Amino acid sequence: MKNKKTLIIILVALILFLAGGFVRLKNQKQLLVEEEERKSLEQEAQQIEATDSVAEAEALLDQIEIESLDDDFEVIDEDLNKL
Amino acid sequence: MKNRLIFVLLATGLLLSAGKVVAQNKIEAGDNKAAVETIRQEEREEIRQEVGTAVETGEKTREEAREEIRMEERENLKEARVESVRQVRQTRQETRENIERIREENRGLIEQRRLALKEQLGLLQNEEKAEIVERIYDNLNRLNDQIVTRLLVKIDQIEEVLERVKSRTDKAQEAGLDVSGVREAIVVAEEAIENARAAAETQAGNVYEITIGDEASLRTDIKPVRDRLQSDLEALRQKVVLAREAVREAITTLAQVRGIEGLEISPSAGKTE
Repeated sequence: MKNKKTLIIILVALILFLAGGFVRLKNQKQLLVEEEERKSLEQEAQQIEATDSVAEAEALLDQIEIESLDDDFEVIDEDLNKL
Repeated sequence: MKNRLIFVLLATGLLLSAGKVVAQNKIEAGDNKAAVETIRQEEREEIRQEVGTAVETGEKTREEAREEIRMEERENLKEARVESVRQVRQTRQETRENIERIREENRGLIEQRRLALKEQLGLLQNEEKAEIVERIYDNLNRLNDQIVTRLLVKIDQIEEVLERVKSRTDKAQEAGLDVSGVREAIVVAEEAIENARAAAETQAGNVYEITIGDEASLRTDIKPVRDRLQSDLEALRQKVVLAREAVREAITTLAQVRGIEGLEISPSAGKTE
């Protein structure tokens, strides 16, 4: 009976100890993810900084074509004409 | 009795160590987020102190002090740029998630209306026409998804250009140039981009339903739905065009800033920490 109680106490303590370890591991993982994100943000920021001249911004904007939607409706219009 | 005491002591020891680990982790978790900022603050403080010392003791020349300040300003600029990129990413992610959620919610509704349409189509004698109507219904809603996605990509690209304009404007301001006009144009462009994104989210939530009468009037029943889709998408497209033109205006205003072309690119541009 005495041994059983002692065993339970030890088990609870062990579980708590393991839970502490798990929390620590989780925090370390989170830290790594945040570090990676930070690096990636800095890289993108540097890339923007290195290509921020007026000429480059203009050239990039000119490349953004916003096409007319007429072609997209061709298939539907063909079907409509069959009705 | 002795054994029991030993066991209890052992268990208490384990409990205390577990508690310590958990408490330590909690403190570390809180500290981690602030750690980077704290280090930067300390670095800035150090630079300020160093500059102060240089002036007081005369150990450093005035030029060295200026260089320190310039370095600090460059560091601030870099930090501002990283924060801006973080915000842009966050907004994009939120928009994508919202649209995905809206589409998920609509899936059931689209299917439900499709079944209702199928029932109506069952009354038609011409099976080929029934198939065409069903196909048009599917295509209308698919086309809506496709074009909204395509225009969202354009909005992201436009925003990337605006980020470059903001970066160069920050540098110009650092160099002492008057960029108040550019700042105003940037705000207008940001609003236009935000409007276009909001419109894309709204458009993603639209479902196009076909209700048919008799076989002879199929075309006239469906055509208004098709026209409504095109008109809605065209309105969204126009908002994206407006956003692009607002960014163009910001670039033009930036180009007119006296001395902008001669502005040196910050040496921090190519460095990695």
